Amino acid sequence: MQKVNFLVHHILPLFQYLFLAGLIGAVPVIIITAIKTAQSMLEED
Amino acid sequence: MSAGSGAVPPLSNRVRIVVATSVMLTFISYWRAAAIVLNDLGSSAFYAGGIAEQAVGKSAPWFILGVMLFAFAVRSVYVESCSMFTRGGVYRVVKEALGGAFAKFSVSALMFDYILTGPISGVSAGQYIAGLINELFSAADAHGWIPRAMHAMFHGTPHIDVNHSAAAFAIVVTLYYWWQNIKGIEESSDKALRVMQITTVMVVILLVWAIYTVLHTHAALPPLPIPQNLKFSDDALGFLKNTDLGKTFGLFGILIAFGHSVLAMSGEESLAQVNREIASPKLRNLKRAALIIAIFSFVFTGLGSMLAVMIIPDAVRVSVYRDNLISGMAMYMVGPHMLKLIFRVFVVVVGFLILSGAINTSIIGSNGVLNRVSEDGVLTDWFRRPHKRFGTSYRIVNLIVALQLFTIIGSGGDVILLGDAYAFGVIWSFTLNSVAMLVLRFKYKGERGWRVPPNIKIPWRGRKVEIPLGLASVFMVLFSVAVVNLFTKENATIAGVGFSAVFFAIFTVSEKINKRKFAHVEQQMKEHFHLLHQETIAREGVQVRPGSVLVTVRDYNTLNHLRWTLETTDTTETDVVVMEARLTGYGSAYQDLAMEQIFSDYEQTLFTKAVSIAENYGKTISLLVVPARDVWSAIVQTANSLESSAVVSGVSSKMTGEEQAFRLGQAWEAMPEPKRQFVFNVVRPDNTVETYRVGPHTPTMKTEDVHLVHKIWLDIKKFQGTEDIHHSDIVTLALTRLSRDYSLDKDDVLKNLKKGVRGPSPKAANFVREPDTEDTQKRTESPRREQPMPPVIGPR
Repeated sequence: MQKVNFLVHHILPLFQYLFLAGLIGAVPVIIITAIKTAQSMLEED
Repeated sequence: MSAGSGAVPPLSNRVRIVVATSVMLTFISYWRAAAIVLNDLGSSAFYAGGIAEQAVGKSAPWFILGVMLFAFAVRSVYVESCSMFTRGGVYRVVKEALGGAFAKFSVSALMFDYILTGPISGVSAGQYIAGLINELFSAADAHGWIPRAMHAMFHGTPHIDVNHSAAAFAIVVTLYYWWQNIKGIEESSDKALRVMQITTVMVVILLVWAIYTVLHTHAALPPLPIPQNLKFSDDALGFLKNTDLGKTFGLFGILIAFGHSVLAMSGEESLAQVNREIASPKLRNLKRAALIIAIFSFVFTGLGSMLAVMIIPDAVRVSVYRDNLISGMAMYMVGPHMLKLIFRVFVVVVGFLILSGAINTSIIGSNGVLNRVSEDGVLTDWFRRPHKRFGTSYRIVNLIVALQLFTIIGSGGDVILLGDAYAFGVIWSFTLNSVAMLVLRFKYKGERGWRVPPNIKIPWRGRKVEIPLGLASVFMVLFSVAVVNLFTKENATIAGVGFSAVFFAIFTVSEKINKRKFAHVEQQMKEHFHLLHQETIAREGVQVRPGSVLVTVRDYNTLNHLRWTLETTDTTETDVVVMEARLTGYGSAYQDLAMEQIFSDYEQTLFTKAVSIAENYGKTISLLVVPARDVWSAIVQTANSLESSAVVSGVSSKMTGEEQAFRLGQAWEAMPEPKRQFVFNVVRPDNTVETYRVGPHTPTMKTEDVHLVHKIWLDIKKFQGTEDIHHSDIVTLALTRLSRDYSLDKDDVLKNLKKGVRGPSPKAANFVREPDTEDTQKRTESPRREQPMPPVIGPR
């Protein structure tokens, strides 16, 4: 039970920082992907 | 020779089998590819908003919008994986990066995703239909159109139980698609494109009308996605409901809410599955398809969910319209009630089309994935054994549908319960795919067509090391959501872990059985057959002369047409090639087909029987295996590559000879130039033969037409300087004039043709049937070279 409590109260909350860091890092991914895929529409085959 | 000795007989004692290692595909445009993916991805718009709001409160649309934006990044990972592996799919990618155990787990999670797609889509469609029926009852009651007896029966306004009706509807539709898949439903990008065209019309009307309504009613935006606005239901906190984590940790609450909205992007895997069929330039078209999918799903699912919360009053949004949110939007638009009701009917029709299509996609997708892993030896051949009559992998279809029916009945038609569980498969298959791609960045440093941006290079021990920032970020988001979902989605965790564990065990045991079994099969194959792997089919590779007869085989119980071919063909003059088109579904191998992927004990039996028949006739045959997505396309492409003059098939259990010839004709028309005509013979069990000519050919002329040409020619010959004019010149002139007339006045020409000629039915446009005469049979034995017709404008 103690182990579960430790997991829930100390380990699990760490994932919120991983999530936040990931979200910040994903912003340029979204922007660059959107631009590059949009460019493919204009390219001639 | 003992099976385990490993000694192999000399080549001369063994029958050659040429194995094409590239799948023969018919390629599709990026629009069609996008339509196929959106049939799966777009369908979530019908239920994702309601499920998310039930879990996290009125701020849910912001999270859906966020998930749809984040889907750009997830799609970027899939584009990179597709640029590395054309055959794509999470199984292949994870296997390359992390090995077989993780690959088996990723497939188990993906199967969970696919198997739940069917029930959630079917139940959601049922909810929309049941909601509409109840609305129509209410409207009819308000006008006094309901008889008193019905009132008494229902103790008020007649109504149906929405959840049970939805479950019943889902069961009926699932059973319908089960039967279609057992028979071998034709996968068609046409159908997907049409459904998406109709859906687009609905989405445009919905958004324009909703925006007008929002402006007219000055509707407020949903509360911002900040911790104090999150109102989690007890179920939404799962195992954490007795802790204060969801409430006290602000950012953690955002993470939980994001996890509850992630099912809005389910269906991304379909992009990897359909990638193989995208036409050249493949990568550019893949990116285009990805952009179309991104825009459509962002607008439909993201903005649609946002507008729904703005338009539908709080009092009824969750209590009445939670499971049919778009219907709720239709009913609360600004405008006359009748118009809103008509639009709601339209919404339900579109919902029915796209959601029931998603049920079919889920069966086809699961079947494809299981066939794919079966080819890799992870599932025993028992599952893949073809149906005696239809030739489909019916045991896999039965297993999938049984699991889906069990899920529908277990859920009792509750979309929330299904949605809760659904997210497990979605998030874990994405997470494993992204971690695999991350590992591959370091494992395989070679060039890729697409790299998830941004990537930075830092100097490290005298060389530059690339840090995949974007890919790592996507993985971090997916992984954190997947882990937290394990705690907050109780049902998903129990069901998902249980399901994945069972599938993982099945895969592991099957793999062990297969390894043992394959060692025996491989030895048998080595003793009897000599396998020659070739990238593509060429006449020289198969070592046959031009004008060969191509015999298609599938079921070793129905090889009568092979016997007929051997009876009627002099193999000293004409070669006989026996071909098996090995059907591969979505996600199946594109290249590098290994021997164990091609030869199960089934193929061994099929070829042994074919060779035995040929030996009975004392004739030689060539054996050929062609992996294919579409059997008709594979046959015409192979016939063309081998310069075959005839193709012989048995009569199909699913279609008539004429229909078979029509499909072959269609595939022939779709094939790029240069292409050759050939004769197609369908041999019935009683040995009677239907003969068709595929491709343009000299038409059969009526006797009176021949006489007319001759009469004109005789008349022309009376004049001087006409020595060089032949009968063919008269036909050429007549056709040129007809061509000119046709381009000037199509209607008049068509009218005259219809009046004067009772031509072949439109279905028979690509081929002409010839009577089953001795003459046509002789021609099959020694096919004559067809002279192509001069070019004629308009239909043949």
